[in-house]
Amino acid sequence: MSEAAPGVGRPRPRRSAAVRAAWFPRWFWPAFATPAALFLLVFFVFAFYVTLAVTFGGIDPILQTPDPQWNPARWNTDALAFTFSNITHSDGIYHASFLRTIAYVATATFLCLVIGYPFAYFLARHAGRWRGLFLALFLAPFWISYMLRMTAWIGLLEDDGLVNRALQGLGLTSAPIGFLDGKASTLIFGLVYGYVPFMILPLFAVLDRIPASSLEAARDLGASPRATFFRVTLPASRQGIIAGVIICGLPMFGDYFTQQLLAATNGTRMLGNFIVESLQIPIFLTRGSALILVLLALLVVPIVYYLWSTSRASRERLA
Amino acid sequence: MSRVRSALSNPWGRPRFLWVIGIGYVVWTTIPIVHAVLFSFNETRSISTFTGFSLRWWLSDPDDSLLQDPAIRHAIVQTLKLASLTTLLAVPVGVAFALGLDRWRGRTATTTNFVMMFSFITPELILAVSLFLLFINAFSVIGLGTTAQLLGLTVLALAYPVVIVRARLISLGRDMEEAAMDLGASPTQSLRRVTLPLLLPAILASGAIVFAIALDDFVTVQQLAQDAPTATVSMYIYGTARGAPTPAANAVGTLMLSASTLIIVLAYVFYRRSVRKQGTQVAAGVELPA
Amino acid sequence: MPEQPMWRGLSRREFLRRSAMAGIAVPSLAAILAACGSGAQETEGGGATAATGAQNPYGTGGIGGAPYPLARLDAPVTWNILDDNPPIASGLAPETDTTLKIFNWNYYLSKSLMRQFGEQHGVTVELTTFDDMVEGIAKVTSGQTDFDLFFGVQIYTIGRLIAGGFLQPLNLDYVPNLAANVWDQLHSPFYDTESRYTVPYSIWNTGIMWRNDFVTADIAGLANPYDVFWTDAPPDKTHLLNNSRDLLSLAMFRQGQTDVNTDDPAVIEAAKAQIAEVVAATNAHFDHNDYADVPRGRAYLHQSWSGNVGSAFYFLPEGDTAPNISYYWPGSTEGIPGNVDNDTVTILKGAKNPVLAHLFIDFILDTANATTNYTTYTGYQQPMKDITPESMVGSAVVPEHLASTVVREEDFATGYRLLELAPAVEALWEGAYQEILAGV
Repeated sequence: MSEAAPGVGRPRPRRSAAVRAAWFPRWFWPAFATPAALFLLVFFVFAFYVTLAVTFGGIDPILQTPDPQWNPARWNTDALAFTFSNITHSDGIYHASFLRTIAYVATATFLCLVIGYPFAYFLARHAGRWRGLFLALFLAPFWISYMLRMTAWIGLLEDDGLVNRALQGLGLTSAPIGFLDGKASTLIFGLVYGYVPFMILPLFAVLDRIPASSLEAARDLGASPRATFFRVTLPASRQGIIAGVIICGLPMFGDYFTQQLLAATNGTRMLGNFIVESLQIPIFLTRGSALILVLLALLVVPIVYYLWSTSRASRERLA
Repeated sequence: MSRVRSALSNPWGRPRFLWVIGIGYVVWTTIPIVHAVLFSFNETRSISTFTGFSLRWWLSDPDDSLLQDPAIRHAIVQTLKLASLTTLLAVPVGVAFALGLDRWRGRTATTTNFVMMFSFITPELILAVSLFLLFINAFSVIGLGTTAQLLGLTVLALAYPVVIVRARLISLGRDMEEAAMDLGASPTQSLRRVTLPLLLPAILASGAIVFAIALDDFVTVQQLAQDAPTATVSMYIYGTARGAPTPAANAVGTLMLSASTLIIVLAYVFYRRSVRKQGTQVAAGVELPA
Repeated sequence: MPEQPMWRGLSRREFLRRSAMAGIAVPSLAAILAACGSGAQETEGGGATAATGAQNPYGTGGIGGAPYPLARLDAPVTWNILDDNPPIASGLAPETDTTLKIFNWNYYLSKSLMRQFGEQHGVTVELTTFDDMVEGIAKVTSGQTDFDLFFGVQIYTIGRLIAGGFLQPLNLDYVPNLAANVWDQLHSPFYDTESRYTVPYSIWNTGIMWRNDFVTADIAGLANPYDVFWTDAPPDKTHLLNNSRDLLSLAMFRQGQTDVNTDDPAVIEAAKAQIAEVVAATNAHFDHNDYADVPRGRAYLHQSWSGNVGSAFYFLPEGDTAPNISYYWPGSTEGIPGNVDNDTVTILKGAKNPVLAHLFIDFILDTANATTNYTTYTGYQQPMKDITPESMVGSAVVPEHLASTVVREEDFATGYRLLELAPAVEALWEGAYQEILAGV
């Protein structure tokens, strides 16, 4: 008789789901989730509360450092009023930058979509046996430093850089174009270059998932290629487009470094520039934190919409 | 134009147009990187005009080269340190959270999940500034510096292991665990010897992703940095590129690029091997609990 | 000894803070709604009122308007040494086996000198840099840093740092080179008599740097050299300094205004409008990277500190005398005012290596070291008795055609300085600067 492990070989009765669930003590799974929950509570939710307390607090007159007000009953709305007023009035200091930031982000996101969708489509459906290679090359920017990629463009776009020399060599221009002199187009180009992988990723994921059978069915039912695209592919990729627009566009709202590297003039200033600089001028620090709150308020709608639509989509997929 | 459109929409046709897009995109993405790597070997200070090949910015320049400038060395060390520590912190916490979330259906669970996804999608600047204010005003005992940067990066990266592991959990289902428990395993045993090994590829993949995110992060580490030793490679490159760019920044970028590529390749190879191994394990039957 | 967390203020600070806070308005949501009515708010409601009065615990002299004395040329300040912040004792041995942490502008202290000092004393010297004065001050006043030395501190920020308790008084027994080598007029300057908290570092004048192969106007020959920014500035290649004081004073000097420490909102507003004209015409950049930008052709016309011209030589090939770079200080022209200034080195309170810090200051005030610093790296002149214009012109950093970058002792008598402002006045200047940046 072989030495069998205990429990092996002996017939065991099938247990009901309720009994199986009771295998785990009540605290078992919540205990797993607690560290992350606490972490987020302290370093995300509470951090946000500190931002509120600082915005609605004051400035120490001698140290000129923020004096946060922890008690909501005594919150001072001056900084928020100032910031809000300067965004909404056309002679306000944040007004032009606010509109400009929205314009830049919208343009850059749109361009990302225009560039990203065809590439994602190509990657998902037509790369064939080269797919792995294209996938690897596409994913490369995710682990290559963003700063290095932008610095690379600075080198390329200088007056004596490759781009200008190529343009002059091909006879298209006679003098170097000052790409880095403070042009909105350079900045938008930089944003597109930096963030287009974030557009392609969700698009690829969704386009990859469209089963070939759906497209074949459409063909069999007599749809033209164009109709197939607009009536099968595009609607099926809708979730991916939403995800791409959000994941690609939202980070651009907080950009200041691309502006500083590629444009750096007053005429291209974004909200992020004002926020980051306000943190360094103590008397203006509360304005900076107020700008953060305004930015968050602006973006909370797309954020919540994205979260709602992804959770709905995942529920639909599981169903 | 109609040929373009039909090429785009025809899933069965010969998509020459799409091939142009595919190759064009890859070229557009890669050329600047090649350019930057090339210029790290420039013999003069310029990052736009190449005059000759030299290892000056890697080794020999007494003040500004990769080898001799203490600022660059500190930056590399700090970057690697932060990336490793963030992975060690974010992955276990995230995996545990994914497990807890998958099994526990409470209100608190969904709320925490919502908060986590919210932190994932919020622009990094908002996160970084809030944390900056937190560490200056409320937690000034910790203050700015490596600890603050680590905590900030963890908040940033936490969602990734959760999302990846959770997706894997959903596709795995509960069958294996329940089979193990029917065969007499305790909850912890089934977790340790069934679930976790099955999750290993997802855990490793999320580890690689968290590492890559922490390696390249800029906004958070810049806001939470304290002094030169807490500056990272991304901060160094940004600082010099803004003021007086030197090829040394290209050099350190190239170095990090090579290191990242190596890690990604290793992670991918490991992932494929463990998935294949798991496949054979599953085919042979579940490992019996001791 | 770690820095005190800032909310645990000293009783003196508490008293002053509470009396100032009394001026701040009570919160009300109506403020936001009211703001929607008329034009954008110019300033936030309820500015802090400064504690006035003769009792000033921080120092004697100066003029009022702030919680601490504001130094003026005709009202010098002697800073108090407070009981809770005494200078270190004399005759202590320097710390060993440690890291001396220096906080400084970029390209503003020779790396080889730092290495040399480190080797001499068997310690590591570590440099952390900041890009602009506001950034440096913000980092230090955050109380989150543990630097020993704070270099390049502008004199218009000293009062705030001393009153805030961020600097420690110096024990000049460790710094004999101050009396021996530095200009007599800076041994006991008006902003810090007896050099209790600071020693002088660099001197410079603020003028105009340009590429003479692209900007052909004879700037030095103009009746008012400042006019070039308004009449002959090349579009997209004009750069201005990125701080409120230097920028607005450019416009003020152009108008013949010599009080560049004014609290008159009309004057500030007028200066702002003038600068806005330049920005509108040229899409000007705001930075102080002239040392890199002008030689490589990113900028053709740059408002510059004279030392930045010298810095450029660090970026140029060996032996290059930069014939295509010119510099001129408008203050040299008859009847035109200009800025001359010096900055300081300070030791931060709570420094872990105070003795080494003092010794480093003495090291940097050694004439030979100062000359090395000036001619091989920073390009900024230090006010040493033996560094004379005659000895400097012809050196690597001061070729003949750039002789106007050398600052003479007499220039301090004819030039105008940027002095410390009361916080409310500073808010006016900074607000105007923000408006320039915002384009309004």
